[in-house]
Amino acid sequence: MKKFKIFAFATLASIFQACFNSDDHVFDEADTTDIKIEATLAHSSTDFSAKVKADTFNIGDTVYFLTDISPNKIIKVQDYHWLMDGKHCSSDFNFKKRIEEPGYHKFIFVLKDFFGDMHYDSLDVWVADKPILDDKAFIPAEGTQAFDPYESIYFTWSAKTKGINLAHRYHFTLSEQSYANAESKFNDIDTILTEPYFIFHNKLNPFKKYNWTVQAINEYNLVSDEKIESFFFTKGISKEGSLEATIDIGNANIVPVQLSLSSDKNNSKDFNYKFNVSSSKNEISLGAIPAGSYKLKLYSDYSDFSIVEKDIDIHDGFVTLVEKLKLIDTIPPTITSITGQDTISFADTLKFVVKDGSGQITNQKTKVRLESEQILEKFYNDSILNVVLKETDKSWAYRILTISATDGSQNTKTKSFYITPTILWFTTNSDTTVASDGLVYLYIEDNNSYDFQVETFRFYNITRDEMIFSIPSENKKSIHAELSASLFDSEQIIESTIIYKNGLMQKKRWKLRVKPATATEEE
Amino acid sequence: MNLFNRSIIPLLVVFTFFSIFLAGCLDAPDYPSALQPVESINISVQQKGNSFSTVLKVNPSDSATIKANVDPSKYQDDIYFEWFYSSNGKDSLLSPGPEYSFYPNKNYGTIPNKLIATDGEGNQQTYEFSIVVNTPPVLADSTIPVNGDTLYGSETSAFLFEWYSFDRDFNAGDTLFHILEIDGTSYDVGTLLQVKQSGFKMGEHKFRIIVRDIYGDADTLDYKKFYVVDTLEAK
Repeated sequence: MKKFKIFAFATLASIFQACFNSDDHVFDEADTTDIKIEATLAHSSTDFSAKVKADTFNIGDTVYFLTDISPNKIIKVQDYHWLMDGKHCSSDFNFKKRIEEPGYHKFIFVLKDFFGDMHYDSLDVWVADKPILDDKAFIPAEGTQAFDPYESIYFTWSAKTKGINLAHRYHFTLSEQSYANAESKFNDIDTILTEPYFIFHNKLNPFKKYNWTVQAINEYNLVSDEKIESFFFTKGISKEGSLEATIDIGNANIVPVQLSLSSDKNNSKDFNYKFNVSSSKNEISLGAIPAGSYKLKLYSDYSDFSIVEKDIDIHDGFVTLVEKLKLIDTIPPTITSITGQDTISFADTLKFVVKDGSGQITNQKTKVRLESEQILEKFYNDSILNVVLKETDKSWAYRILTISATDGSQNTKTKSFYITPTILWFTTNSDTTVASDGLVYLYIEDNNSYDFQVETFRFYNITRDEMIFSIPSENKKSIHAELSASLFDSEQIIESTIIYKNGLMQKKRWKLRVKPATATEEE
Repeated sequence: MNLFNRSIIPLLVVFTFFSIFLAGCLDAPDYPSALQPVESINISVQQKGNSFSTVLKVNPSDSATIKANVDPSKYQDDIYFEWFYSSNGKDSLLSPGPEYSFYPNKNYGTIPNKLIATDGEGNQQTYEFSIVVNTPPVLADSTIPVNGDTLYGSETSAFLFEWYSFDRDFNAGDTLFHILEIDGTSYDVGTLLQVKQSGFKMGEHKFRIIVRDIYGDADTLDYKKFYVVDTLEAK
């Protein structure tokens, strides 16, 4: 029995020994995985690509708070939660929150792992509304006149961010107006100020318009929606004023302009100005002018533009403002054929006169279409538009050639011309000169290859607008007639016409000249 | 095993041990039934018959009284107070008692900046504070335009507004901020003492200036009237 007890004790001892011998229970650092947490925030639930640790938000914005846990979120943990400014705000890994309290907020993600170790990561959030800039009450008020260009100018304004006491800075700019007739040489001011006022001590130029702008930015870098955009004018020496005007030139790009000021009382006070006005630079400033009443006349070198006449007063120290003097071209170009006719004969090169009182027609501003086909081979020079036709443009029928021209003010004229058939199924007279005591030999001979039956032969005096004769064909394919030349004027256009029974008709115009009997000559 | 056949000494030892242990439990102190009776002590200052204010700001033109207030007030007499002027770690006792009157001139050695409160058991609490000695700003009655002035020009004319403000603390770093109020519209003109403004139709207008220093003391002038005559339209 005693041996058995000794054996049992030894067995139990060896079992316990085995428990303590196992290397499996020895801590091996290589087998461990560190727990890492990272908190981030984002502006949008759909775009987490721009995750940051700190950012600024407007009041009421929804902020998305996100956590990444390494190795993953299914590790054994005792607790995790978010704190906002030290107070519990969420028990989720990820959550969203609308933040209504302006100011700085610290968000901390806290994780207590299985072993009781604490892990933290924090985010910084600044919340505020955009600053509100008072864009109604500021100094100097918009359009203030007669600032002495040699005195300091004081600018003031005010801005605040609702619900929170934040410092503000201000983006301030000051620039001199550039005019169509005068470039500014002023060194623009573009600066950031920490106080809501600015004193400009340097010299300004007399009788100029100065534009200034202010926009507020709070210390969270939020920029005000409002922006002060104002202007003021300087004065010059005593008994002088100036005039500033904006000129509306409609759709024109650039227009040469002349302006004259004639004094009502004293002819010696006449002033004349020449300058170009463009759509982007349409403000003019006339510099110092003796105070008084004047007649203003504004006109362009181009005849299509209207003339503006206006009575104006120039006040001592003030810049008289004249808004929108309308110098507009509403007259489209004119288009005529070189012959003056709307029906023209086919030629390799057709010539048209395209003119405009704005002097701003270019080849690019003309378009030529032969029915549906655009003709690109065209040249515009010295008011003449040359249109080149191809051999394949010839037809047995009338063709419509449409020309459009657009002037610098976008006034467009479109005109169509008829090109007489070039492929004729008949022969008839060409331009002819006969002696007044001779005979005019008229003929039409059909030679169509389609077996069309001729119904009528006709000769018509276009110049006199009267029928010479119209004869049924009676199944004949030609007609010949002789008429006394004395029946005709010295020069006329004759139109030979053949009408087929299927309704088709072809015409040809030719010129008949009748000369005195002593000088008979045939061309 | 029969216990009665053995000595009772071991049993007595065990019994004695448990008795001592239980007696120790019975000797544990009671849970404190009364909390600290004084919840807070605040410091306020009074001047020129005004009520006491916790804004520790005084005008050097008149004597001031500083007072320590105990909350709840029923313990006011149970606390002993001492007012000190402390500088460079050295305390100078100015006066004992809950109140101390002083003349707030620029001799800061007479102006307390430290209070030690002591209860009946010798517990002490120290309060450090500072009293701002500030002279309110003053606006001169002289302005441009003067009351009743007539200004000639037009609605776009730049009319000068000018005023003068003073503050005895200016050299001590005080700054004056002004508000120009014209016809009910306030313009925050900051430290400027003149501006030029336009936009005045022909007729009567009124304006005033308000000046405020960085401590919130302010001065203002009564509304002044000016009249605009539109000389350009008249022509």
